Amino acid sequence: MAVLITLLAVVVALLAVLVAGLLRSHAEILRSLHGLGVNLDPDGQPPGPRGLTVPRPEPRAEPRTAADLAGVTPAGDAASFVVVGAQHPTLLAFLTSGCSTCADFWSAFSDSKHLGVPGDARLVVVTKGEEAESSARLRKFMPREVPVVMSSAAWDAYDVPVAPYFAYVDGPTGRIIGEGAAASWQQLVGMMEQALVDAGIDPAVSSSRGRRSRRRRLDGRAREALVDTELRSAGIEPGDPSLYPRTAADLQAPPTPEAR
Amino acid sequence: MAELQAHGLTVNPPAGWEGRIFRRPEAGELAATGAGEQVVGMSAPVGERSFPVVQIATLALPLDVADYGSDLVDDLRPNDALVILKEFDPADAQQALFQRAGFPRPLSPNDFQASTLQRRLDGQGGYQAFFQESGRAFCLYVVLGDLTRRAAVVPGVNQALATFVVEPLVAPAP
Repeated sequence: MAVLITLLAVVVALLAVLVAGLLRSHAEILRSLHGLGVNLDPDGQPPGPRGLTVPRPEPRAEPRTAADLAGVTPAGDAASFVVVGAQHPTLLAFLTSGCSTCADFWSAFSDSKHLGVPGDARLVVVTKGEEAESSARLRKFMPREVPVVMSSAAWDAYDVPVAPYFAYVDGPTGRIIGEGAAASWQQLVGMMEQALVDAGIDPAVSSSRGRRSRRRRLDGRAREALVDTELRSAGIEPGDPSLYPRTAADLQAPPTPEAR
Repeated sequence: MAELQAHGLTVNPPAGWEGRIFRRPEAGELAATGAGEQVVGMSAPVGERSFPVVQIATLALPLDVADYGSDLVDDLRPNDALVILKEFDPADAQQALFQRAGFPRPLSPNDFQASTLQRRLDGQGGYQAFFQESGRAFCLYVVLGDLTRRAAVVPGVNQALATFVVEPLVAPAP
């Protein structure tokens, strides 16, 4: 009987240690989520998609300055982007090719014309570099109208803790106005619009770049068709010798009679 | 700004400049890509080979800009500049058009003319030169947002041009 009681006591003690460990782990997880701006308080705001409330960017003791971007594209080209000192704001989206939440953003960015980026900011996707990310995988779903740059240095510069993660940068000052994690585009827009308001900026006011970008911009094929029309109206058909200058002087010479 | 390097070309855009080095995919390359692989930007016409293009500018470069920036020049402000380095078939380096040897730099403000523009917009000025370097054939095309500001803007252009490096082409292994 005494042995049984002793065994029971040992088992209860072990279970108590296990429960304490689980509670400690749970507290660490909650602390990390809070640090990312996620509020799971059931008495707080209504839950958004996936049970998460709209996150607010974590206020920082000191305003952070952004950094310009440079890296390679998933297609193997090289690209750099001015973020600090630009005339327009920039919304940086730090995504990976593997996380399920990132997949929703990749999908949303495939129709960037109808996204409605707060403040008409320039949207740039930043993934980790080729040593940590698959360019072949990225090419399968990267958006056609949103630039994607692969740069682990950028992740370090912006101190990105998790993916997906976002940073909204005021171009002229280079100041990061808002940053944080989000589970959907709607959540992200709400978070960034709040950050803009907190910074005294009307999210609905377009930047000068926004006004420029709304001017109809032709894609490559439309440009080709327009050029063909203009050349034909000038009497220049495909194969016209004037289209194939051989010397620098040909660039200035009038079309030869047989070209008409 | 960090150095950009791709396709045997290197450029280090000065602060405030952004850039890209890219090569449009050829029609055959499009057919060879896996299902679902997206290709950004216009591809080369069927049967035509494509070669690298370098674009650097003092304003944001949209993702799909024409090789010579014809759809971007409308956005150039008085102190803006657009620099294009477009490569041609290395075999063309033997043609008289590309007989000039060596990268044309530095440029003088007087090198820019209102008539040297692919799209002639009032107030703008351009410079164009065909040359060969490291066995490769190129066209350098520079557009200034305001020709009257060339004395102030061209030094910045020269700062950018000084960072260009052209590597010789590497012959494929037999």
